[in-house]
Amino acid sequence: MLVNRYKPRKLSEIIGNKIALGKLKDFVSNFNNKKKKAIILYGGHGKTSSVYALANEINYEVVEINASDVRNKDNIHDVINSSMKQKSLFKEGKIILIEEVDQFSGLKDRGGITLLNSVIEESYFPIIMVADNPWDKKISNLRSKSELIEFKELTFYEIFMFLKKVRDKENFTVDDSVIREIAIKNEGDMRGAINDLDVLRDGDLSLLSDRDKKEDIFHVLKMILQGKNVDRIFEVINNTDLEELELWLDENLPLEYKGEELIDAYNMMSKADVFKGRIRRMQYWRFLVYVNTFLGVGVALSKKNVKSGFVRYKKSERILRLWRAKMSNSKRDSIAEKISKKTHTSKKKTLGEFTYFKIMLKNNKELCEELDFNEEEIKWVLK
Amino acid sequence: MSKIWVEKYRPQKFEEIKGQDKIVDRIKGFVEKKNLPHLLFAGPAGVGKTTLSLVIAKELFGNDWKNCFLELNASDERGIDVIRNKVKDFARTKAMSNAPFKIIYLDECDSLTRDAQQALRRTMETYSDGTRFILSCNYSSKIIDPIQSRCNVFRFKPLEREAIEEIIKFICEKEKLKINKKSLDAVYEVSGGDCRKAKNVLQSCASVSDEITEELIYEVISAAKPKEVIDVLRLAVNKDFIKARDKLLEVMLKHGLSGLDVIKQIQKEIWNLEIADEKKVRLIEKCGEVEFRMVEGSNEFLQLESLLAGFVLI
Repeated sequence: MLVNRYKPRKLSEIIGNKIALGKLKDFVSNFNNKKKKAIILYGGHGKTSSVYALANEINYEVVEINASDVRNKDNIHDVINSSMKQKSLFKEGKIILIEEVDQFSGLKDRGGITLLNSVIEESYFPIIMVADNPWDKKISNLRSKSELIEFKELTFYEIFMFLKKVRDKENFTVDDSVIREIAIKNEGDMRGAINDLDVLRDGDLSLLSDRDKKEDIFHVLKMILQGKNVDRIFEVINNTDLEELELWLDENLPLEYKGEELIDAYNMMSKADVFKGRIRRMQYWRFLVYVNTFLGVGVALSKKNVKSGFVRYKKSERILRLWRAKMSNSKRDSIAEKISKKTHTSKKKTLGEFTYFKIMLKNNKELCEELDFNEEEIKWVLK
Repeated sequence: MSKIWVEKYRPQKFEEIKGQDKIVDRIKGFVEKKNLPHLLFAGPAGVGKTTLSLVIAKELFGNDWKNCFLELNASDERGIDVIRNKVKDFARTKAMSNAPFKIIYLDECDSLTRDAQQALRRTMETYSDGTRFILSCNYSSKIIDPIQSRCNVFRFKPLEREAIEEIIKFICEKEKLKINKKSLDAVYEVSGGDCRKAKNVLQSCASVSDEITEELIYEVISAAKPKEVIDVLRLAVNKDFIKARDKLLEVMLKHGLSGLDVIKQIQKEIWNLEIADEKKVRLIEKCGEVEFRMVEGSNEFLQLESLLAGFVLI
């Protein structure tokens, strides 16, 4: 991919944000003399790639903790401790990079932030944290111990100039006007811009004009539901939102597949879902490989022959309908809870016999009074 | 006094309890001696487990019973935290009344997680000086052995016809309702020996009319059991997958059914389909697999769809 080729290898290759980069480099190179032993990077685009570029430039190793790991007390302790004890084999030093530090889960990552607080001051290695919102209350202690470095959005001009450079180097035949559009569309996001340029290189200009997620997903769907090209499917699925893909596949599967094919494909989707459930419960993210494979290649290979022709894929409205139903069920739930409190019965059981209660309540005002319903609940009962 | 009949007509004394005679006698003996072991009540819904526990508390503690009796519903609060916090906090403090102990009533214990049951076992031991536990469950097999061995186990049966009819007649008299023999039969049949259900059915009928007819009873019942699940299966068997699943979503949303609710019903309805028995068994097998995956997975609807897809090939 083009983005990878133009990933900055040195700080000097990074476009824009010169002040922030200077501070970053100063922090890492003069770490031993620094009072504050950690920094928080926020704002803009390119925070993580800057850290990696710097590490590459000065031959440091990056130990990364991101949101895909469980980040509770013990795990962070393990990662940081083991990296503190061992010197890097081939590198001169280490940077501990903690991504999305303001996004620790209160439940699953319990104690993680507190532990970070206590290690920062003793750390032998620079700790660099990345935050979307550095003002989040959760990290106020971390903030007071860290230096804050703001990244600014890249300007249109910076992106525009860089894209032009890439185009010339790669010998793409793309007009300045198109490049201008890419630069405008990707407000500040160099990665997105280069990706767009990459797509255009393939010669399909129509992709750009209004390239939003829909176009993407149609493309992916077609590839999975009609084709059997395993390599291509793996490639695109890595850049696809799996939740979204599942919904779209689910909705459109019966438009393309029939009979045995349908059974096999649903079997694959069902297995993918089982692994999704396991990931959620165990926070074991390696299972994602199986979700990926079953959803993409698994579904694609469930058909006997490659298909062709135009099928109008539909967007699933299920989420919307579920949401609407949930809103109306929430009243049912609150009513059931009130009844269950009065009758020494669990809410679950009350819900099981809810139709009887609904009939009673509808015809008996006194009951509604006894249960102390609010206006909305009464309205729901009488509906 | 509550206007919900389940509460209004809940027995307050041992003498008022209908059915479960032997169990009631034994428990009464414990209470008279003011000496109660830990109890495990096992049995289906609506047969008197909660009622008997409440009666025990009222008879033991008198007017003060609410201070000495903690009622927790494990199916609503079934994590280990409940056992660690609520139960322990209550067990820790001394009883204020004459009785030498307090009672913790844990309803629907079969939905406690294993961890929670392990935590409970220790708690039962540690605080057995000042606290007695009454655990209730549908299936005692879901309660870990160490807990069972700490309890006296009582197995409740569905109420007999006479008991249910006596209760219904009594309520009809008090509420000035007209009911005949056939309707009495119908209420019993519908309840299947579940007294709570019998009372709820009766009260919802009564809210419509003072005369409880057989038709009225069945009308109320059918509202509670969506027939549309069968329609979903028919559509699927007739090879219209897309319509079948649209209908499925509609039914689930309309009645607020969970995926498990639906699969339970599908599994029952398979036997009523007009297909060969061999095929029915295959479908049941598939049902089991899908139910298992539903428990493991995260998207219930997707799992149901994979089941429906199998019906299309029948």
